[in-house]
Amino acid sequence: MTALLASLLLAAAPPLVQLETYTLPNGLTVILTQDRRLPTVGVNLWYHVGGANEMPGRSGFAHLFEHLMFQGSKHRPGNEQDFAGLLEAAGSSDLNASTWNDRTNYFETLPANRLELALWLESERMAFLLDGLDKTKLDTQRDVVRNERRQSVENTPYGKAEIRLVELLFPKPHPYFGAVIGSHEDLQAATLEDVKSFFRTFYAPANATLVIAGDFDPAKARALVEKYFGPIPRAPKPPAPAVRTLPVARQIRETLTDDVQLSRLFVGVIAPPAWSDEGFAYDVVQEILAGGKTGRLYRALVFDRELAQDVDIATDKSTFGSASEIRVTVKPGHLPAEVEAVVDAELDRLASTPPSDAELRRAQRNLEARLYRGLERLNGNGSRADLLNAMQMWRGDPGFVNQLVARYRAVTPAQVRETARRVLARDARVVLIVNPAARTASAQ
Amino acid sequence: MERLARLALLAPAILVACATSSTPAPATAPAPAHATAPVSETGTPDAPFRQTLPEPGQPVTFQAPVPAVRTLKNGLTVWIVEQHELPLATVELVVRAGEDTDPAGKPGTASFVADMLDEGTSLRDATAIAAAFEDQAALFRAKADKDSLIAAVSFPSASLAPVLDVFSDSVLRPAFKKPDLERVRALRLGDIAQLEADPAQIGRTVLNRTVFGEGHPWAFPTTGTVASTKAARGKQLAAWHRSWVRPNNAVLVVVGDVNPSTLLPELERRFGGWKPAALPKRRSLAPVARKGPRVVTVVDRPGAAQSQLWVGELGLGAGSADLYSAQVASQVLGGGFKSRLNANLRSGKGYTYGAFSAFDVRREPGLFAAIAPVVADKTPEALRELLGEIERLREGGIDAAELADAKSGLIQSLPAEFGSTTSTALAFGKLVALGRPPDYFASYVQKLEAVSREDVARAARARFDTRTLAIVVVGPLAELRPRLEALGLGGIALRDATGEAIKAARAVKSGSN
Repeated sequence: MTALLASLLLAAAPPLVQLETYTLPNGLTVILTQDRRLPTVGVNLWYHVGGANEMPGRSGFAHLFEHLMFQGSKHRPGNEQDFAGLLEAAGSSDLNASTWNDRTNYFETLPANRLELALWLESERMAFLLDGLDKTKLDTQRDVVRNERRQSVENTPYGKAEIRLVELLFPKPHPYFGAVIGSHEDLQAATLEDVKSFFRTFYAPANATLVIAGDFDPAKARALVEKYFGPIPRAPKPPAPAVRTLPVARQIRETLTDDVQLSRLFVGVIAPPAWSDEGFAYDVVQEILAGGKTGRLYRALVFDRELAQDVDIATDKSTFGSASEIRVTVKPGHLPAEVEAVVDAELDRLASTPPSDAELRRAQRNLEARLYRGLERLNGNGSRADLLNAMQMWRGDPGFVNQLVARYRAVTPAQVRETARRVLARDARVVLIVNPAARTASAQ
Repeated sequence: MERLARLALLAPAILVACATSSTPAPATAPAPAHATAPVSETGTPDAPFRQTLPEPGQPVTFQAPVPAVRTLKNGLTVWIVEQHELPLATVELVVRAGEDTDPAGKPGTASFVADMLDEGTSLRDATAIAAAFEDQAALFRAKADKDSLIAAVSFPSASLAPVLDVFSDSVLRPAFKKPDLERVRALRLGDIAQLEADPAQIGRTVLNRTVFGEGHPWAFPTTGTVASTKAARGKQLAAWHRSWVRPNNAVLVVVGDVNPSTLLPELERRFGGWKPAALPKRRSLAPVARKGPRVVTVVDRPGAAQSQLWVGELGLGAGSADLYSAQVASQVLGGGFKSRLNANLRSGKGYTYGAFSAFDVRREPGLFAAIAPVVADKTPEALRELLGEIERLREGGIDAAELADAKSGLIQSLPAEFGSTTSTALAFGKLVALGRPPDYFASYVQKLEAVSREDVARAARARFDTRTLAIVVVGPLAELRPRLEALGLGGIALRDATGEAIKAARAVKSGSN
């Protein structure tokens, strides 16, 4: 056993991810965690910038910018094929990047002897991106991103509803309004000047955290980090956006039609901020309601009443409140109202009666197991490296990862009930119903 | 359950491994005027070490794990891979029968059986099974595939015994009781309705039907059709299970924090009574010959913002002589992010979020497909480019750098396959399904290393004929029809979302609006 010591169910000692953290004079936070299971090393770099930092009229810009980070730099002025090709030929896995409300991450896993290549590339785009950028690159990626939007929103069943729900939960001028992917109009309006100014403001070392995870020598890794990132000058850490998240004061309802086969009910609420103290009880609430086939909503809607095709809850853990949505696809021959009545009843039940100890324990065990399945993966979204960056961002301490199990275990039945009562209150909900176009309901 | 954030690079589910190659680095981009400035825009001083790529350090040696192979008294083979770093384990039963053994006229049988495994046995009802798994934080899934059925459970290793109790009961003794069957049937009908609304799924379904031909077991979606789902009977599912789910047609793969000496008696106790039996005769998987001139098959999606392009042909089986060279060819064509298709259609022209190609290797030859979802008004241009890249590969083969990059990418990224107990079980389960030996990965590296440019050129010439490749477009017909016809690839044949041909009268009407 190397970096990770763990015992899942009857653990006497909490699990432990071993790590070391330090900060360069320019403000870059560096987190090292060794894992020698495989001869690979993962680099995972978070910039604390996302959709929430966009200017009015520039929705989707943080994500468009993320694409430009693959478009070469001063010393490799080629396009995204060049950067990605370098890493792929070296044997990359988990090569990608993603943008969400508050952060943008870049990651790649390489054979253990190619750590320097990953650090060269990440420092290259942190320090020399603008020196290699031109309007053609912007224009191409603008087209690519608009295709991504067509693929994930316009041409995906229920894609438009996902965006509408967030708009209703976080009305303008909240920065989470709309979608991280942005609107076609705003994407079209982005200029090269916008790109430069965004980079200068948000892509400073002091606004980034770098995780190196896997099979590496810490002393050598430190020296390489110093070599590649040390010379990048300090720049001011951008101010946090001034955001006031207003609660949903009265239930909001809307019905859409879309090119789908079956009706779907969305019930959205604003859940606690990412990894906040009160978020642990909400994770348990979510697990009790929709964790697997024993989840109360699955049991009631899919199994007992046979009203629904599927049930899930998805929560976007975010700084200024997390959009959390219950999604239920209505079975042919049934109506969204029938489903909603059951959802209402189940949410009321959890808000009025604490769960049994056995039900709570099941939820806690499954959350714990999910944590381990994440830690098992070295790199990529939701992996060990990513989770350390998340802990650094939202708890100010990557070592907080070692407290997560204890936090979940400390949740009490009364806290579950209280959290359900408060967060899932009927007045606090956005209810969005999507019906198939050219049909009145799922009934055929 | 965080929602997936937006990704810059898209990897399609059909790709097994990710690696690279393609056209030489676009050195044509003129360096910006300030490229020689000693200090960057951020104020970072330039330095010689930034101008050249860092060299690799000491070579990394990687030996893929080789499972220990054991046999239970009833003949069931067990592959065991120990990984003790985390208290997790995965048990995967791989049955060498899937869609390929669906009875004629009854597509979706194997997949229906997979869905019923955790829906009730003689000992436990569906709720009891779910509770038994989830009380132990165990994740169970079962899925039929082209030529296999895989049931897997991943769990905290301390829960081995209780998880094996419910897992073995589920996979060996499903009861197919009427109320459970009806409940699951309704869910499957809902799933099919949803699949028929998903443009990517439509492209896949229609291409499979076109390539394999009417009535072929692989000409249908894995889930079957509305009609076959409505007609499915408990007896039919039980008969399939009885025929194919046998210890002489399966391997149990166990990965993770397990100890073989304690594991084997636990397995013997639960799987030892499972009886072998002679297997039924298998159906032919030779494709049904296509007749007549090549057509461009279109599924009309009026007003769609994107078209799905699915172009394909009969591909590779595990025993194909050109298995490795053809896969290298496809890797260069559309295997990684850096590939000819993606370089052209995405990075060059901006028509798509991602264009890919891959061979779906099966025991018998499966599908080869090149895929691109493209902005609707560039559909004909994108199709021309996509076919042009295939033609260029056929005519010109690949260069030395492309070969080196593709091979090194595939070989060097191999360790990632073993990054978790579930991915490791998946990798070995695939070997079982394909009839490969447990030490396959060592020979895989050698065989890839041996591929030459000439091999790739030969495979490309033999495999990719743009005059006969099946072409499927899922997009807005009214806007596209004349421009697609102008490509001269063949007449337009209309099909619905399931691949059923649409009568000419309707086709004419649809084309004129």
